[in-house]
Amino acid sequence: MTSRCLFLKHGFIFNNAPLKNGLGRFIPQLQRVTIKFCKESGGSVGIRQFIEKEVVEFAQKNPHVSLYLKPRRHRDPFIVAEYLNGEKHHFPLKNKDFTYVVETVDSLLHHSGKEFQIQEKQHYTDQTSIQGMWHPFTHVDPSVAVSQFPNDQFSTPFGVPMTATEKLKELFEAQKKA
Amino acid sequence: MSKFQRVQQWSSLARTWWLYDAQWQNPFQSAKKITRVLQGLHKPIYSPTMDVGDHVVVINSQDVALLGREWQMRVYFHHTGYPKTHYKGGARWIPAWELHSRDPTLVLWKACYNNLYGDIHRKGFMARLHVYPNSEVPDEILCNVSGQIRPVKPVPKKLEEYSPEERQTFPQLWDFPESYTQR
Repeated sequence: MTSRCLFLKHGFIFNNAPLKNGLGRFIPQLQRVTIKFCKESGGSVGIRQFIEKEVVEFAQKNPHVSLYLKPRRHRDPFIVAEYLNGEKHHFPLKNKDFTYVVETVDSLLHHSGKEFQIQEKQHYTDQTSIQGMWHPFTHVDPSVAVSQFPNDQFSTPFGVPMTATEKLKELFEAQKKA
Repeated sequence: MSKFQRVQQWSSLARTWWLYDAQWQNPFQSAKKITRVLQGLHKPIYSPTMDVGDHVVVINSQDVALLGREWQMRVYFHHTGYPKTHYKGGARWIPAWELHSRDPTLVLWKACYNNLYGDIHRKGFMARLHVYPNSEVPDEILCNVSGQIRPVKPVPKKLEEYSPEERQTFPQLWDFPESYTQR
């Protein structure tokens, strides 16, 4: 166990998105990507393939992202992503294959830039309740709104068995009809 | 979220006012019902960290009913503040009937107070309990009420409360003999 866990931020995915982003127009959060790699060493093979195949298309599709390629001899490959909120994320990509690099870049593109935080809850939904939110008048008789209190209508508890007097009256009524 | 849903959400977090008629009710059984509402336990949105308790207005607390000889046997403690060195000391134990004669709201109030857990929230819960000895409640309190808590036991009707017609039409179980005289 490392002491790093003490300083990690705890949070919930609900708080990740910037406030009200997309209500008017969507503001892309990723601003700058720097790809640091080596032209020779084997650890940068995946990232070199990405540069050969994907990087031009990526730059064309995302004009809001300024992209830098930074060759550094015999050093580990990294991706550094900088976001609108000032965060800077470093991703080591040593010995990672092409698909891993593509997935990483894709996740960076759609990330809000929020600092990494331990998820306190693993479930998230936009629609909190299908049956609707509870309020004080769910399953309540609307006549309550116009009734005066104290009210005789609510002066008896539920589940009281019939008294002998009431039973007698009922029998008497039945006898009269017959 | 539409305007209607927004107002609905406000109402779900707003405090509701409830009325409870303590006429001929056991105060200790009533306290279980009342404190449940004071804490907000009757709401599906209840969470111990959320303060969702409701107000309860209790009327007719002077007519609470204790079982058997409980008016004599149940003893309430208070301390007058005088030290032990004073004559008889400051500790006082008074029976329920005496407490009730001093303040007819206290038996029910203390029943609710003792039924709540004695932590920092109890004072806040009890602040939302309004006990009145009879059915005279100030209008500014009663106008808030939008619901009624059902009593613990049904309140029986006295013979005097039945009208003469009802008494006449009540089924006669047997015929009285000619010689029978009614007082």
